[in-house]
Amino acid sequence: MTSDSAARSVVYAARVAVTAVEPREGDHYVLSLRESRIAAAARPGQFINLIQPDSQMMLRRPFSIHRVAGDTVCALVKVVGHGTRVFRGCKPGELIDVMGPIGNGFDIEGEPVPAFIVGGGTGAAVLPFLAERLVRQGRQVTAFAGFEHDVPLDMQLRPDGMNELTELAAIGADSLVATMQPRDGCCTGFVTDLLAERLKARRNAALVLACGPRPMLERVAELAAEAGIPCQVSMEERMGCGIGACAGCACRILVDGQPAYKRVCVDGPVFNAADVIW
Amino acid sequence: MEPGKVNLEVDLAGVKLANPVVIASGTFGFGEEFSRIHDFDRRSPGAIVLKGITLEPRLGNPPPRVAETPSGMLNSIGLQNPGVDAFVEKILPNLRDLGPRLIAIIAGHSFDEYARVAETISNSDNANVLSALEVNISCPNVKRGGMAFGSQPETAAKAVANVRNATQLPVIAKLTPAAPDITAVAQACIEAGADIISLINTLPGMVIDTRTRRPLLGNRVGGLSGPAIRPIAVLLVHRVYLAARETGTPIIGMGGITCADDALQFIIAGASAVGVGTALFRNYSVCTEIVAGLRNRLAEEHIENLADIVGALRETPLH
Repeated sequence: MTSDSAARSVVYAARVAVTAVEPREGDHYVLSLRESRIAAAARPGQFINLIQPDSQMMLRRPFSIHRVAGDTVCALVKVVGHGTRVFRGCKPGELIDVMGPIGNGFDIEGEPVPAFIVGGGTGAAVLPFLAERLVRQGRQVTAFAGFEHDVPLDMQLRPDGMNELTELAAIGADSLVATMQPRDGCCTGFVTDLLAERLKARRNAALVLACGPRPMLERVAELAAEAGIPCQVSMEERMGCGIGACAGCACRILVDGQPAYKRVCVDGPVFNAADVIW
Repeated sequence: MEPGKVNLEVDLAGVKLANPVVIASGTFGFGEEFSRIHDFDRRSPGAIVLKGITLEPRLGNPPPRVAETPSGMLNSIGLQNPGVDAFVEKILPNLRDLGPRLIAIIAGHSFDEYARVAETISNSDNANVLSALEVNISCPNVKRGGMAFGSQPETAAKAVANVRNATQLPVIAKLTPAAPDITAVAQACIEAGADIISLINTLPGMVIDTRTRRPLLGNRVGGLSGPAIRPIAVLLVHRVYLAARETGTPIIGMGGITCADDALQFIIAGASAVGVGTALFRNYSVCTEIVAGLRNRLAEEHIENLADIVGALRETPLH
């Protein structure tokens, strides 16, 4: 996962056309852009780093790769400030600068054992692309998606009256949705409570992969450790260069048992949960 | 005049650069990171200043370490680096064929630390990979040394003298805009043996998260860079140029440079070369663009040598 080859892999940079900005629930939207080299090279858990060259943005904004379709790459974005507002206002055909794919991504090589994948808030952006690649390997996949209230991914009703993520159902992956505020068809409460239940009930999950807010990741790591299951978490930090040069996006990680700061952009964003110093 | 005929070569106290663009320390790692980018032109700058080096390895400051600010960026990395021994043994040998001139920059907590880092680098088998040593007496993100030394002429001179006495390489003193009298600091550094002056380092600043009422950066305080500080930098470069002109000491001017026109402001103010840092994060081709832009602009004005307009500021007309 933190092998040199992954960290040294090629990053493509280009000025490309936005192909679509599709609104989602709440303040979310899906930003699509066409860059065939990035689309071809991308692996789940990697990110793209974007800037609108005519804007007042000084730094690029990193987004997990949400979906790859042909030569198109998508990001799921929530409006939280200047940069995310600028991208929401992009019209199809408008040019933005993209760099990617960046980072190590989830390590999903090896035995195709069943996987639990967990996404919280905009961290749920990784679920469709990750599920697709896991299913393609012949893995059994169960996804857990947690949100405050707004769900930025399409949902459909299952026969049991609960919601599932439409895109994941289409590829044969199970999914459950939790929201903090009560909502029809969604479990109320923390997504990690759902995960805890399933980890207790089912012993066959052999890999846990998660992306979301830090407290969620910490709880996922704890649950996976209790269950004795390997767990990888995708960390987030404010970034400067996004290419490994500035050491701005530091995250405390154990290296040979000693605390060290690793760079989220190129040493991560995915780390072994057991190595993260929470 | 053909843009290709313009001579952009720079002679910084014997250090010859193919063009005046110098990548500023801390924004380019140890020289290789940007090479991850598929079409990055590693020969685009005239020189690269590597990441700051201290005697012992340093973990750096707690995150968050960066924040975007209006027309700028606040950073507090805290000189995260593997220490001088790892630098000379593991990093320097790999940089031999990087292309542009390489400059190492030394940070220290104590006067002695500056001397020992300079000595270790200069005595190493790979010292000839480097073209100069820069003395960072201007880092706002460490508790001792750094900006505290660079704020006063006496302490700045002592740090520079310690490096001067420990190396045969040309010495660059990097100044802080937080010094009450930056021209006095510059003069003291030159008297202490600095061959080149570079300025400005970042300005100390703070961003507060009003929800948590806490500073946004883990270290509370960070260094402000980017176009927000450019007018301050241009003015201070000009003042130092006027104060040091008689000594002939060349200046590397920096602070918020994003394009050839920005670079020209510094050159006209008195800088022989220009530093680029934060702009790289937005535009990784910025060095290539500045070099091309300078060529075009000088050709347009029929100026054959870049050196001819260093310090060529005209007085404002009287009305």
